Amino acid sequence: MKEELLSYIDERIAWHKGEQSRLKAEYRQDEAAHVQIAINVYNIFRSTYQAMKFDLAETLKRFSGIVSTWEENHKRACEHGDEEKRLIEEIKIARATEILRRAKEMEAMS
Amino acid sequence: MTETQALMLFKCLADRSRLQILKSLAQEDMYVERLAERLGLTPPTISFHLKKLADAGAVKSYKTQYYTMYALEKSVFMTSILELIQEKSDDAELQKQRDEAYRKKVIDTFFEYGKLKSIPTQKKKERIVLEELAKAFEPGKEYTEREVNIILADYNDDFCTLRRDMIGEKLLARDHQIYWRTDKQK
Repeated sequence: MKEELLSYIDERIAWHKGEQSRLKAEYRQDEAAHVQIAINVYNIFRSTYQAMKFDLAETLKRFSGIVSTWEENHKRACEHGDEEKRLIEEIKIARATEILRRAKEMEAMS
Repeated sequence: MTETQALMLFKCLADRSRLQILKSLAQEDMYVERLAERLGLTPPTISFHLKKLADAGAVKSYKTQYYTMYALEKSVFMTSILELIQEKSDDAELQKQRDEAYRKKVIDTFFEYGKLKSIPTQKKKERIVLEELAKAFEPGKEYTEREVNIILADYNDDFCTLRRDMIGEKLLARDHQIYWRTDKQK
């Protein structure tokens, strides 16, 4: 399962890199930078997973802890009307939610 | 528009999505969701771009009963690029001070006790030296070649080169052996 999940993460990184190139070619630098944020989230998960010596339960616990920090940041950005920060945190939370959902689906299937 | 404002605006416009937003707003005022639908972007992304555009002074917003509407700040786009580059630079004064300091340094280096020690080989420095020499000629007064030579010889023995270079730099004008100072010096 670990290989399947890592392979899924790699596919998502590859897809986002393609999207990032497309946006850059269209002179949409800020959106390309936002895609980089998504790529970073995948990489954070990947690194955490590897650091945890492939223990998925521990990885998910640690990763959820990181995500809760992002949720706090998002809440604060909303309170202060900080559109840029809000969008960045939303991107991070959306990608993290996707990874957690996918990991749980795989765990349930295994 | 100040130089900083212009920089912010140009940086903001160098993005296709923001340009598309402006094109839409040029047609009519719109709210975030409508722009998102029109441009195929998410509402948070549209809000992000609108914030950038608002910070650059390109769009303004106003509230209606249900929505916050966004409109083009037309006055910003009335300013032509030519007007912008012709505007006095924010650091023009600083540049002027630097130029004056450089000028003083060149004059101090090449003049000693009112004499020109040598003719600078560097064009920029020579121009400064020649401009300084041009001050010895009264504006509007005509001089014979002999008078010009005498004045210049007071500064340096190579008065022929100085005279020729001053003509070349258009600091002095000449017609039938009669010379006069032009208004091209600083």
